[in-house]
Amino acid sequence: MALTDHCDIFLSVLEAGVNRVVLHVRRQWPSLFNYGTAAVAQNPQLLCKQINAHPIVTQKGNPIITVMDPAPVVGTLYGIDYCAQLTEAAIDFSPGNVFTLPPPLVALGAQQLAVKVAVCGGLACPPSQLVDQLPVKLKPAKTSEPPRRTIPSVVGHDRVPADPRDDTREPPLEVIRTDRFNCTCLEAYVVAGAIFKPDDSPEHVQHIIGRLDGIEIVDITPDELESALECYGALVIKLFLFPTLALETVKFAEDDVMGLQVAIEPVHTSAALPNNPAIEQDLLKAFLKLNVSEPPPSTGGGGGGAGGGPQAPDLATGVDRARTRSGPFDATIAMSQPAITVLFNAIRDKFTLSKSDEASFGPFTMGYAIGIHLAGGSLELRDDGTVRVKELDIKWDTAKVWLGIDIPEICVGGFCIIPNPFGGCLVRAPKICVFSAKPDIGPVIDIGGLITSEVSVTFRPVMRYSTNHPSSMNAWDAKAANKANRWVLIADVISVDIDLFDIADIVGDLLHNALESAVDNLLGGLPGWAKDLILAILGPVIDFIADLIDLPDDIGEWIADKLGVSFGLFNLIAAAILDHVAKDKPLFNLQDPLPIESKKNLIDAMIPIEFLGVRVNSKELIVEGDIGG
Amino acid sequence: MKGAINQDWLNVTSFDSGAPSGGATVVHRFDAPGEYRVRVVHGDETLAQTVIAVSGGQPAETGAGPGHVSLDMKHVLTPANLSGTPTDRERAPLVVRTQGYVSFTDSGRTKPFAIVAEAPAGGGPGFDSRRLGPGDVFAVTLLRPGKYRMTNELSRATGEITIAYPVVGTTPYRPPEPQAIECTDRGFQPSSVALKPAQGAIFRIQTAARIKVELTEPDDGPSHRPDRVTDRPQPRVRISREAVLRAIDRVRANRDRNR
Repeated sequence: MALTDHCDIFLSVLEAGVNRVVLHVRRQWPSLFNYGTAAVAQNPQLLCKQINAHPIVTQKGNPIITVMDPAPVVGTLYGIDYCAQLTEAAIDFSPGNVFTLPPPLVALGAQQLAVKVAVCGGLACPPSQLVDQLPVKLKPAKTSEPPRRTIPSVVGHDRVPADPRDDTREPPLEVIRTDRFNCTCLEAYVVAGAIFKPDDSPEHVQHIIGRLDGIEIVDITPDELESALECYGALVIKLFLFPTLALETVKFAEDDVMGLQVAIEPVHTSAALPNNPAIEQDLLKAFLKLNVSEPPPSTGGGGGGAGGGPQAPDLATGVDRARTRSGPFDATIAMSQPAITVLFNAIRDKFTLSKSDEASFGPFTMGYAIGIHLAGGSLELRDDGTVRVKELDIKWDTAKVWLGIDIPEICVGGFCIIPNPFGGCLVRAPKICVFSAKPDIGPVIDIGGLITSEVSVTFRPVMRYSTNHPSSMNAWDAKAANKANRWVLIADVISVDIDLFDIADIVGDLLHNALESAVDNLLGGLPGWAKDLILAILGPVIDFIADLIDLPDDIGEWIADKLGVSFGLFNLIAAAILDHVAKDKPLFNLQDPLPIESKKNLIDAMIPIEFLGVRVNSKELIVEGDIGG
Repeated sequence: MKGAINQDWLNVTSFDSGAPSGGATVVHRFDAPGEYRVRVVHGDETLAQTVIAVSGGQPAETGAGPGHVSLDMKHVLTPANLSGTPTDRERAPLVVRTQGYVSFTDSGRTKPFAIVAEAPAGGGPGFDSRRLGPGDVFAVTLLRPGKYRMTNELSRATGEITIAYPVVGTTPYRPPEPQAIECTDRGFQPSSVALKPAQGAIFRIQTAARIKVELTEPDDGPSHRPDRVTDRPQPRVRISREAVLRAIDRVRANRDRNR
């Protein structure tokens, strides 16, 4: 059973991979998970749990803690320090095997996921002796509102303008400093599911959004307090967290897949596909359908997105990189044969080639100008891991061949008048010569639209790793310098077959007519008898020219041989088609590590892609990868 | 075909040994050494002069000079040479050995110029193209098909030359060897000559002569010319796979080499 039996694209992520991503994000964006007052930020030793931040955070000047205002002592102008930290976060897809759910939550059921978070909070509690010595600083009471006076000329004429004596801004809090932090930690568990939910507008955009099935905060008493907090937590999760974490319909930037814009939408559920997305086998699975379209006109600077960048970089040659983990892959993407065919058609339609050349072959020169595009053909995924493109038509939009023939000078007269008694000739008559120009004739034949060729290519998709920066350069600097390492998907070509069809009589007729016209032009303006005399001397001009340039009876083969062998035109076309999908132009590339942009002016979170591989069977193409630790 | 043939020669249908041009040439043998002043004349007017130096000594001797030189009036009668006085139009003398031949022709203008070579004092007889003598030769290549009348202006002898119309055949046509015509005091021998297209005629002068050959009846060929090309069977064109497969092998080899 294939992964794409009910969809164009199959996506799955393993809970272990998600947990590794969460860990990377927590280490690189610690300020999103750790909050405290300025005193805590200046002295992280006060935190309840020490932060295991990535060294790049301080290198790039990012904060470790989000600084908050002190907590006020109610009714006073005093405040105290505090901290709040998310110290643990893990996800568990059905079946539950990452952590045990506390009662009253039951074990994970089918199509459920569980999230465990641990939150620690600390309050700076000053000792009594210190408090007893503090002067009283009560928060000033609000003064009564001054009598209303109506001033018609003033906007809002039923209110008086502000009087400086009525300033109600509160004075800053005086923080009671202490190093004594009372910390407490709680664990919370959430059981949820996932659904596709369409946006209200525009309707066609879908999101994967969570469905809350249960929440439990452990060990809070009394139970009523726990219930109240759980209720509040559920509100936060449903109204804030789930919408914030909703996954959009995936769109890749235009330079990610051969310059195409790819839109992916979820498949509707059915009896054959009862759950989409599905949570099972420790995986979150999504079943999607594919739409391919031309990208919008570029406005300069290139597109953004997960895999793209402002300018296509020059990539180092990729090398094989083996997988180091075992077991299920952290992420799997499979594309069905019809989906691959859609991409293939778009790639095919973008291929064009124009070329002209001229060369000398001794008594004649030959040149050509061609313009081709591709059409038709079919794509077949095969169980041996290869992809075969069959019978792809090469359409010759332009195919002009011209000859420059230098007919050797022909002379009459010049006969011997006085023989040399010792042998040879002493005196000769004047010569009358023709065909002194170079070249003398230049027939052109236009066979565009008359030739149809076919090409078939067999290739094996291969994933390789391209190292583009030294190990001394960190990933953030490498990305800024457009030298990020990348996983590249290339087509390792196994065979190329080009067939040219017979075009009996047509090209031969064209060349004959072209030569006739050329000769007529050459002799144009001469009286008929002179023309006949020259033609008589030349003999049948076609034969003469044929002998001159060694043109065989099979003119088509001669042209094909000259174009194909002497000009290497077939090499050129084959190479151009191969280059269209060859190693210099990867079918796909993915930065490693994969950057996630922050919306809070923080450094990108870099997720290492430890492994990426590709395989093919007769039903689908599968890309599998692992997240690095 | 512009520049590929001197079309002026195609229009030449009259040839005169007194003013050889348009593919005609007159050959004279200088038997006595000396410097011969050669004048190019038109009527009584001398247009240009040059010198032919006939060196002494036996023909086989080293340094005796070439056995033949050619004097083309086109090179003598250049625009620069036509200005000034005749004495200004002299060029470097031509040197030929005793009993050597000088051929006179004009590959340029069709305006008739006669050539007069005056013998040096005490030297042998001179030469005047308007009156050829025994031993002189007048050669001509007739291109225009048709009937020509040949006349010795000095003896009033006449004859006929017929140039056949060219036939485009399956093999290239090559004019045969020139036809020799003896010009004697009894007339032309033979008096009626049939020549192939572009076949030459050599008049061997044995008496005083000024030979003129003039077209009297042009032959423009048959009214319907055979279609030389469409008679031939049209070849079948085939572009073979083998040539392409060779190219594919080279692609593969290059790719393997580059890996």
